[in-house]
Amino acid sequence: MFFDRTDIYTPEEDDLDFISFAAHELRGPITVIRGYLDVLEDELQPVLQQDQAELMKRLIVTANRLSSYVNNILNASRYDRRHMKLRLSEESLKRIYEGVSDDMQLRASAQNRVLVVDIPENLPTVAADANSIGEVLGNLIDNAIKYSNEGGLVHVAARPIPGFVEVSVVDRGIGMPANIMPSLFHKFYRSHRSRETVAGTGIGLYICKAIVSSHGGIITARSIENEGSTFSFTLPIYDTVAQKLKSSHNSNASLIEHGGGWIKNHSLYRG
Amino acid sequence: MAIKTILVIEDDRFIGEMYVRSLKKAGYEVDWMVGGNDGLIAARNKNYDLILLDVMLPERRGNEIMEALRGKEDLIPNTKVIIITNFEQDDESRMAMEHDADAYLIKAEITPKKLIDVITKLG
Repeated sequence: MFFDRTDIYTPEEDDLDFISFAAHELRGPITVIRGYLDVLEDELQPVLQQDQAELMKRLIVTANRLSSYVNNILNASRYDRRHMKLRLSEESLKRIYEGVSDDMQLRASAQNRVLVVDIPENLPTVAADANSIGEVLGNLIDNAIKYSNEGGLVHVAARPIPGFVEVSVVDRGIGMPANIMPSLFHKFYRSHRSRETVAGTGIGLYICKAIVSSHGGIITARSIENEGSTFSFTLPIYDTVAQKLKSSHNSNASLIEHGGGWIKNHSLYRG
Repeated sequence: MAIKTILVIEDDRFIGEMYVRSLKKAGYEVDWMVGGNDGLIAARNKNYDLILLDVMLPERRGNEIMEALRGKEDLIPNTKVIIITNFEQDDESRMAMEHDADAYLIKAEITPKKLIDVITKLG
């Protein structure tokens, strides 16, 4: 007698739907927590002692991080269901970074890291979904903070290379051994050492890669154990892809060879 | 045209109160409706500069309200609409809503301060 048990081993659409539903549900409480913290931070500022203000900062950082985790889960679920959609427009990296800058500085300072950002004004514009790239930056900077040491420097830089702008996030932290590098961007992958010492789900780099490759860019990692890591990703220069984009109504399908996925631009603002 | 009057249609009491409180403190004149039916009636009866419209509402969903207000003819030509939601739908109702709205924001990402920034830019 044979039993067909394949359904136990394949992630079903239902499971992903459930995860996505649960993650969406979390957003209600997160809205209230982040919103009220935003209000209280302002209104309590005159009366808070210095140590209380520090606790407040940690609360805000933690709530923001929680929100990013939920976004990672939702993005991963969409990507796996091939529901990811990017809405690409002409963007400057400087402007994209400004969208996450306050949050990143807060995260770095709450963990006692020094975040130095070096994104020149005069870089060529890129074709990007600003929110999604903001999430990539958030994940990479968050990792650099997590895997570096007290007082450590995290350096974000950008430079033009032929056809692309390359963004790098560099830390001088604990680094990684060469043998784990090939699995780094796999879903749920975490090295033994990370599992023991640093909290995380192993979904951040997976979704970073998904977002960057959906832009037609590539993401890479270089690392030396005990010296630090450099994560870089590229985005196509807008002028090089403008024609293709126009003919596809700003969808990313024309930029990637195996399209089909899409990411929602989830705080669309039409000025 | 600067935005002065705002209608908030939001059924979550904590979230609704949070927006109303912050918007009033920022000097806006704010009405708040918790149900989809009352929301639609209010939107039709008074000329607001801005409507903050939740999607998952009792009685009538945000997309139905949007359709009723801007579907066939634009009943609110002088009003801006910001959709606020935590559920991103991947379907046509969202596309239609986005098309008819002036902004589409995820509530979990928009603190009151950021919301006021968006409203200032919109106005």
